[in-house]
Amino acid sequence: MWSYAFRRLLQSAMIVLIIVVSVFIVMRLSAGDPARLRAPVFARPDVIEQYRRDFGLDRSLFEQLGSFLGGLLRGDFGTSFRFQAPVTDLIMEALPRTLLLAGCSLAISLSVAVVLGSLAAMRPRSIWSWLSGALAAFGQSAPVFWTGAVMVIVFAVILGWLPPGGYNGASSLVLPAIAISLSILPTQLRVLRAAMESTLQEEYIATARAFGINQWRITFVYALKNAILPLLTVVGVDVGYLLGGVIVAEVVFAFPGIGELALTALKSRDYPLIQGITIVTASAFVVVNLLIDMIYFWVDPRIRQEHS
Amino acid sequence: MSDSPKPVLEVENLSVRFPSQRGEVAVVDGLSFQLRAGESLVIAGESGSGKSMACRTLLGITPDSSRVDADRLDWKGQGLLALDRAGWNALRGAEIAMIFQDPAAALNPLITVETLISDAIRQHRGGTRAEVRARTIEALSRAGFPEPEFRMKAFPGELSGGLRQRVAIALALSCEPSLIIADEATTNLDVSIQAQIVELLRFLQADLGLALIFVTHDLGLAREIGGDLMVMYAGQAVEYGRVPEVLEDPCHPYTRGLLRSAPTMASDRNTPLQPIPGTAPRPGEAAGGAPFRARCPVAMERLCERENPGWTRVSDTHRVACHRFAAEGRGGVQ
Repeated sequence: MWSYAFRRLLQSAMIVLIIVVSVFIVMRLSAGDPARLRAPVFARPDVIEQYRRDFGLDRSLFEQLGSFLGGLLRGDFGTSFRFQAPVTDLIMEALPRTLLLAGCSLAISLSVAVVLGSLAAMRPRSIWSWLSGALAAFGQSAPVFWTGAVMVIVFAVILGWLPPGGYNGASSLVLPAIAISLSILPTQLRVLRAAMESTLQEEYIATARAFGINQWRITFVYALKNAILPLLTVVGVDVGYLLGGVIVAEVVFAFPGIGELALTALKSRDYPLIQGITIVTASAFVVVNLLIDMIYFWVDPRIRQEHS
Repeated sequence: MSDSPKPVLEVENLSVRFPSQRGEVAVVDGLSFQLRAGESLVIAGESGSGKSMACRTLLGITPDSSRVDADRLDWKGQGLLALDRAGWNALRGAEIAMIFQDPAAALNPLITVETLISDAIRQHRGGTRAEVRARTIEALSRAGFPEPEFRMKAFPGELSGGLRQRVAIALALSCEPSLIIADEATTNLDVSIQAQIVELLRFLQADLGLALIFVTHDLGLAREIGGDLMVMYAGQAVEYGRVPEVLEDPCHPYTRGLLRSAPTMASDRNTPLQPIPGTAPRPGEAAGGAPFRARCPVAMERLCERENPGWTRVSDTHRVACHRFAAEGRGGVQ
């Protein structure tokens, strides 16, 4: 198992490197000049040229790439054009907030998906089944910027229960976390419910019933162990989406996380910051998916056997 | 033990029906039988003859879409059809336990052997962790599972087919039931393991005084188990008697066909086996006449089409449902 993990880790490092180099090149090939965006509006050409020299953009593409990769090896992500501060500091300030928000959103949507999806599969003609269908359809059709805005209007502006945005302790996490979890819930709910429905038809569930095992234990232990496996894969994809900064949600709620930082960086063509954010989110994505594969190893003895 | 006063299991006119496009069809149709403590009943028939479904009614695990009816379905005098979920859960596993057909499918791949069996014990018998563990080990070793202390942490996928079957048997034994239903419990095993498992079941039955329902499509195994034999076709019982009676003196054309189509140690290698022509009817197809009529070599043209034959007495313990036998006796079904 550990050799497998090590092999996968090497692969992951390669993937991240390829992503980073691609982003580096594509950014420089696309339109927009960081120096011109940073300089005063009616600056003379030689002033703009000075900015370009300061940013190191006067050197050849290869030189720039070389010094960027060299810096990476020393753990130096460079200095942000826009903020004139080390990229590492900027990311380390925003990342924990986004991780917290992503964690809360995932926790909410996973609990709802598991509980509601299981109940809906267990009782096909109940209120739970109806509710699960309705929630999945709603989450699928309502985009985050709309649910987010509606929630701000209702809970922040009209009722005044929660802050409309910003980052001020736990209460400012509630609205964005719910809005984001609503957007990732539908797939999770459908996948879990379908897996649970087919698992409950399995012969080993009939065995458990035939031995008088309590129906809740059957659904939430015997069946869930099997039905949760496909959900893990979905979570891997969701985590990528969440860490890429749930950009829209962070903007709607003025949440100072990675997503908002990335948007600012993109608007000002802040190459070092964009590269730094890409490295962090891409690494997080591959590491999380590696972890999920390890979890499969841990929960499913059949996979363990295959690789031993 | 035929002198024990009252049967533990009494089944009268049991039916299981499913909705279909042609209206309701009966998968089990009018079964009646009784079982006393310590006795065994072999139910024999082809796949799809309703054997498994009949057994499942005794555990309340027929599919949700099915409808179960019976004039009587009593376990130790208690009506099973009136039980609610809690009533069933107190009974099944503890009083009536089942060994399922295919242990590869019947054991949860993500639950260890220990958890599986301890859960059943905890549900029905309770006790401290150590007691439950001791009982689990005891059940496993009784079922001939080697080194249970060390190997019960295994998942079903890590065990051989024979060991899995022993786990299924240990599970059935774990709460000391009075009746064990073995549903084709040896079908997926090779012959030597099959012999061991049958031997084990007979030993346990004698040792623990269990009643046993043994479901099989192999009449040769019926001889090993003994007790009563019920031959089923298309959801109905067509012949019923003591095992040797039925095997030595088969009175239903279907029973005769089954015996002719299976090899025995005594059969002549040079005579080809004679399969029963045709295929088993789909549920509902055989309704309203003798169920075996379409494949029967001695079917009576009008009578068998129209009328379901009732029981004809062969001896005190042996009966057969056949128009030809009723009309002409043994000579008619030769």
